[in-house]
Amino acid sequence: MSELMHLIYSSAATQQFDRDALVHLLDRARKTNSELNISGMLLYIDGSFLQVLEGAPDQVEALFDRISGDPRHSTVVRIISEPIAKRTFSDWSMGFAEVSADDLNEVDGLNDFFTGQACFSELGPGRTKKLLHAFKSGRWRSRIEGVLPKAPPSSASEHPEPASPGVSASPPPGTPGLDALPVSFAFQPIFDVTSHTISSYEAIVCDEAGGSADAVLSSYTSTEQSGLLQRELHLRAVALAAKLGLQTGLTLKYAARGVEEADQLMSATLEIARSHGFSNNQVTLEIDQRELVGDSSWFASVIQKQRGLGLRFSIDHFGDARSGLSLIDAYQPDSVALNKNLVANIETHGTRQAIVRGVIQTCQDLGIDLIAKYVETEAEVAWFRSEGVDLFQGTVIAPPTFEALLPDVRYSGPVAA
Amino acid sequence: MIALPPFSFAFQPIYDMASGQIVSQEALVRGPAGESAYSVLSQLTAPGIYQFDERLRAAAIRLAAEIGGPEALHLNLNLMPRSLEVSPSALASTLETAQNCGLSPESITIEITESEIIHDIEGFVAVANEYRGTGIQYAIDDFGAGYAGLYLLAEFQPDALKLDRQLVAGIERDGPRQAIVRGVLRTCEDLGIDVIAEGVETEAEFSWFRSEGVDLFQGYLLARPGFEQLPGVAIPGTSARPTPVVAQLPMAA
Repeated sequence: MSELMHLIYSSAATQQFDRDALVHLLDRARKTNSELNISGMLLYIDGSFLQVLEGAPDQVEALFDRISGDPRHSTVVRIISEPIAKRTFSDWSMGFAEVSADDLNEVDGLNDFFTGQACFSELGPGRTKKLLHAFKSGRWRSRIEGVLPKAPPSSASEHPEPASPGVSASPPPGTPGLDALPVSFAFQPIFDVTSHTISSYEAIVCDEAGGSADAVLSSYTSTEQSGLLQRELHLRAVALAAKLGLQTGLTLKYAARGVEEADQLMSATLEIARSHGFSNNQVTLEIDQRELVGDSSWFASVIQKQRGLGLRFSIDHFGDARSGLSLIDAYQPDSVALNKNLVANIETHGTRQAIVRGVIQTCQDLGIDLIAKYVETEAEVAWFRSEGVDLFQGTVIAPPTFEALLPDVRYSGPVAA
Repeated sequence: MIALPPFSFAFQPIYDMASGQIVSQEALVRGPAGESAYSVLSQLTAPGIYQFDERLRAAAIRLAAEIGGPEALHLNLNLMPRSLEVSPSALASTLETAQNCGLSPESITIEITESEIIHDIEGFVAVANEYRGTGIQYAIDDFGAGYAGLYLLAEFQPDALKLDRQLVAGIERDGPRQAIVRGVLRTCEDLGIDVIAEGVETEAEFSWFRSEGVDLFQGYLLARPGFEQLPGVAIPGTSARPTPVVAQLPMAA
């Protein structure tokens, strides 16, 4: 798999761009970018640019350096730069969309983003799409006073190619000595209340009768043992999920202990998933780093690398004493799952509400999904929905089911206030 | 009696763009001739460090009151890690010194880093709340540097928090930091917590925070720490603003 990254930045035009100037800019960009094998898209509205660059890391960084020095824009803000498993705009040497503020106000969905060509709706549900949403809703727009160009609604673009699924390999062997470990899994849906779809199932380890696995697992405490155990648990969970015919995402806990074996363990998990026919980005590792020892910046670099290979990452227990804001910068995760202490009875708890509102804002700005986990009451769900949170996991939505995938969630609970 | 090294203080102002006033001076420990804080603190070992910690705050209050007079003086004073745990009377003695120098408890803000609070959060909250009734204020220092910031805010709401230099440096070019700070600003606005942009060194950083509505600033761009003096501030882009450059307090000779 080739090394790929994307870099998304925003900036403000320092001069007026009319349609001709934009087309000229784009012509030049397309030429340069196809030579460098860089894909992506450029969005322009009312003096603000948002650009996505995808390609080999060296090429993308070099191009970004050049772009940053271009006098036709300023206040260049690097929003995201991270490894990716595949291109979102694979066929686009440089797609282009120009929208007027009126369009943005009028369109309900985002299909009209590219004047009716429906390209946007075909973008995969990745971070890029979320960032474009954020841009649409007014984030990341900077504008130089006095630069107020007219922006006729028209565009030129092509359709992105759907990505091919991951390749299959032969299944890796089990972990020696742990083959007979008496554990199994329950699966709990992570449910999108807006689209009424299950986005993922989290595999929750339990004993062979569906009870607590604490007694079984308590003897694996050293770092080395916990590494082997982790690998075995991932192997078992993936195999069971595949056997149950899982089609959605699969969320696996990753209890980070030592940093040294992290790269190897994550690679093993990805390999296991591929061998069972899972595709890129289908498996999310939910990082619980409360017991992490070692160089956390190195651990962050492992996460970034593994994202590029096709794993997704979530921060578990977000808001706990060992899981906070600096991890968002360090890991740039796909999602964060709120800690129980922030969720419980939130509808009556102003401090928690204020903290969660801030987290929601940060996540929206960065295209990170927020999962309201541990929701136990309808009142909690109602509060999160009123703040625009879509993703829920908790007993009030659906309990874990032992060795089974709940086929459907029939949650029709309270509507947003 | 443990021998303590000689020391003095530099002061660095915190400036409020909204009122056009210096709202506080942070006391920063220095050697007797202005040497670094490290040169002083590295000579200390526990348990002497906690005794020293109390004496530091008392000396900072006396020096600032002597330089600037107690009227309109507000001080930000640091608390060493685990001070309250080891010495629960630490705040009482600080308030007593303040009173002796003509300063009310409302004129004192205690700065604590998130990592030292999280070490014993229940103990800290109990002591901190016990003294809140006096009018003393609390600021969380280096907010955002560790992992514990949000957890801490859920358990304890300070009067102010100071954004860590890591979040401030080069923020005008850094999307994730901007997003994190916007989230923190939102939370603090909802909770009535003041946000101080600390370690602001460039006009670009300053402008970004201004555009997000931040009023409170501390950093080299406005004023370097002044050894044994209470410095005034230079406000970036002054010509475009009506606010004059004011040294609110007289300088030391």
